[in-house]
Amino acid sequence: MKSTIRTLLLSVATLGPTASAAQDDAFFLMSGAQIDCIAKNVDSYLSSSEETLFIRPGDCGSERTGETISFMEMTLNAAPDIRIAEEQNIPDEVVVLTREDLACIARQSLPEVASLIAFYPDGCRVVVRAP
Amino acid sequence: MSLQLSRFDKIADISFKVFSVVAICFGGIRYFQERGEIVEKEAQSRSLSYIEEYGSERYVAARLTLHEFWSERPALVQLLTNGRISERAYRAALSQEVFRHKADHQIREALILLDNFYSQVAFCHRAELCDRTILNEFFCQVAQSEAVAYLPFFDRMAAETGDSDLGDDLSDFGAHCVSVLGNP
Repeated sequence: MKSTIRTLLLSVATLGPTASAAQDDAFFLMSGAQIDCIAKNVDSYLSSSEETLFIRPGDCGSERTGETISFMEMTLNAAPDIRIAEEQNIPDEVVVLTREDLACIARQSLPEVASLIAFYPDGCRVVVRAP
Repeated sequence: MSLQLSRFDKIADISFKVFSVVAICFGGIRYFQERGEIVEKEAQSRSLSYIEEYGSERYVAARLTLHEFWSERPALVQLLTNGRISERAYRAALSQEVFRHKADHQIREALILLDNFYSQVAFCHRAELCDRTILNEFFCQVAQSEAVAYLPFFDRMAAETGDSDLGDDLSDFGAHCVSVLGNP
């Protein structure tokens, strides 16, 4: 019964606006050099046919510039085994950007020097977290 | 003669009383032993019925839906399972790859079914009506994985429906059960 009520509630909820504030505040952390490198190599990344790209910012500037994560076959249970780490003010190992995000980053006037930058895909905002 | 008989009667009477007390004690102990065994067997039976239900057609279908959802996103899975990831980065990755396209809608029914199932398992575990060892060994590790993986999905559903309890029992069971492989 409880399950049925929940299904009905969700059916009603999906008729209205669905974006919640929590998702709007999602952001990725990169160093200033990393985001600058991605901005300069946007064309290499956009050569991928994927709509959403999984990028290792740490690889940018090396011979692996433009490479994205792509695995065709994975085996898993009903949920991946995710190990949550403590939040630290360091760049993310992998960032998830859409083609639109990449094009937007390329248009941004990025800070010349910053050790840590937060990129908010929603609204394409770049916020310096640490100079 | 009558004095000897009287002493014999007394000894017999005392012996009978001692025997009666001992018999009552043994009977009581046996009763509680049997009662304990019945309770234990009932608890084991309830735990086994949850395992059986988990393997039923509708739960297999729900798990297949979830499996399909993740297997369609191999790059996301690779990102999530390659070392540790902060909760903020996990939510950001889901926001980009899943929530932005409302792709989470395709697994909502399966998640609600899962949540409902774990509500029952968690209650049985908490109230000690089930055999905790069996529940821990069979469900704990998978519940811990699912609690971490699906927390952002339940939070999103809760924000949209106002049902703030969604996913709580799965998280609670995952946090309090004892995995045979050790808690993370």
